[in-house]
Amino acid sequence: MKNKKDIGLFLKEKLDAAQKTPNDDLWGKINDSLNKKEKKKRKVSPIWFLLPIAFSSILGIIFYTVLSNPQGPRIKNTNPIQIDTTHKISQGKGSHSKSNSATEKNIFIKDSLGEITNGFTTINEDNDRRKPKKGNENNDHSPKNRSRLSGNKAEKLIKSISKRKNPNGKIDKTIANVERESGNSTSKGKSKNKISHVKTDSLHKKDLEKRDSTRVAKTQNNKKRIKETTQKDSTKTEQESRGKWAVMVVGGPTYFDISKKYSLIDNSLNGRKTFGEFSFSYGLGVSVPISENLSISFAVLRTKMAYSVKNIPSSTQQDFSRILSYSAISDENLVTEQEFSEFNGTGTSLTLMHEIEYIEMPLQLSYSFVQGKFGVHGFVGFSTLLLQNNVIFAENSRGGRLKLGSANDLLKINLSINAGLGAHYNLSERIRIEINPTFKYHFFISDNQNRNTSGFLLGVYGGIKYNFNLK
Amino acid sequence: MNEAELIRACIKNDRKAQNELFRLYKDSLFLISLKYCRNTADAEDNLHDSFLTIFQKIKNFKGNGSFEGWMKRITIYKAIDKYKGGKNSPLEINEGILEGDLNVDTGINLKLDTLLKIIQELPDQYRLVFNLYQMDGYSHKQTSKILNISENTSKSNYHRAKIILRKKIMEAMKTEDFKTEHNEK
Repeated sequence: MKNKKDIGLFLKEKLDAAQKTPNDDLWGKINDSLNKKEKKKRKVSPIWFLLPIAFSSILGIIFYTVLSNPQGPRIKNTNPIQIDTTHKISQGKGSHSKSNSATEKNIFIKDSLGEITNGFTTINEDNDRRKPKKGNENNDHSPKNRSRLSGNKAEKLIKSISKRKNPNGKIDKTIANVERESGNSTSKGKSKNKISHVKTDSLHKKDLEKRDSTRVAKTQNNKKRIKETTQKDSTKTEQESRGKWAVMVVGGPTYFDISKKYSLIDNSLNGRKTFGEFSFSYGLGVSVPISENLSISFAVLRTKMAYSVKNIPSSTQQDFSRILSYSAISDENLVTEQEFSEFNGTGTSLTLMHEIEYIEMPLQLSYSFVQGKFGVHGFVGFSTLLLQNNVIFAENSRGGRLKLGSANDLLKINLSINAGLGAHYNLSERIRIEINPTFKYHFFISDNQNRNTSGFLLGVYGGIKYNFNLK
Repeated sequence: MNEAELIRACIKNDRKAQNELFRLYKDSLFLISLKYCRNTADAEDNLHDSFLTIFQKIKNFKGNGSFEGWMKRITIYKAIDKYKGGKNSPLEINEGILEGDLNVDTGINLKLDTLLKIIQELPDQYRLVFNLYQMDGYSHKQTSKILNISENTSKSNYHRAKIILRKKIMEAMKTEDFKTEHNEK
């Protein structure tokens, strides 16, 4: 009679005693794979370095272009010649002062090159509403008491200006207007307004000189004031054009999840449902107007993303070693099976949570659909994300966390495309609050061809924008 | 170089030490791969992946337990990851034979390759259950947790695996006897 044995035991005995040698090429393949892994660790594709440099350069050029032109690219000098007429009452002494109930019209002319010229014309206006109140008013219209030194200067000035080349003919026109205005006032008040020459007799010479010096001082003061006014106007124009330059404080909750097709942790988890997690993102940015409705913004954000894989069996020693052997968990992992067992306790399953932290640099174009106190805008763009940190945790049934390590094949730099629709409310001229619900699609989070996966992020970014005069 | 020195050198990524480690354990780990995988090519792939993981994770080995056991576990889990939840459906088994004899003659002398082939041809889940429970000493409870199946399924799969194996061994015996007789003639 033959001896019988259970088929299982029979096979075990046979195979335990056996020996099989793999193909000789196998070490070569392993060696190649090890070399590739080392190279991958050292080498990051240069394009990933060039990309942020290119973005920064574009941004730098935009900043430089706008800042280097103090008028701003969009300021148009639609009124190259400005005439400011300021009525002044001249007060003098003696016989000349008596006859000096004249009104001076200061003519400030700013030509198209921005040069400011001023002159004075002394014009008698009988019906001038701002006549001196004293009784020494003199309505004498004799040439003596009419315009004096200033009239002389003004005439010369007008002549010189008339001689100037002006393709638009605006100066001549303006002067004509001034003369016409003077004429009008004369006709109204039935008095003659003329530009007269100054009589220079020896008796009045001193007085005239004194008056001249006073006028020169006044002229200088006026020049100064006009310069200030012009500067103020210029600054105002700049502010108007560049008032949209703004700095932003941005922050908001984000929800991130990855595609379940490929797991970033281990191939054995491919196809396993992942659960998105909420995190927070915050940072600073700047916004630069391109046109009335279009602006470009750049920000630097600290963005945390997380997702989890639930119900990973964890009741046996084998489960522990299996989890610890997940291929994405890198070498830094120092958790032993013993520690893992203590952490797990009596739990039968646990959750793996993967947290990834990036420095995110979104570059976005924004278009305002509705402008006003309340506005609506849409935006599109992309973000460059620089990997800062990534941690894989095990979370037990009690909510405790144990750091297992970090995924070792995440791309150091990756990209996302962004789009969203936002709303804003202008609290004041300078301060605006914004809310920007954004969708971001992340490409190629991992550099492992077999484990490459994509992800998406939904963020509700709120921000305060402060219009900032960069001068 | 003793085992501890070898491990330390491998942690430092010393390629010679890694080669030495490969040379020492390749056969035993290859045999495990052959038992768990569907064919020799898959087994070699599995061995390749296992060694990569071993070199990557060797820092984690703290010396608690046998180093070879640690490497075997990695090799087993790699293979399980490959086939677990696979779409290779179990064979149709005539319920009538479930109660049949599961013993074989101890004198059966089949070639190692034939025995391995018989195991490899088992449906994936049966093969994994059979190997975990029978060849590597895991309990049905442990097996069920590793494979994410119920304990009863594990027991049932194991039983059915044995039926298939016995049937195939008998068939192989006939074929080999036939070949032997044919060769003798």
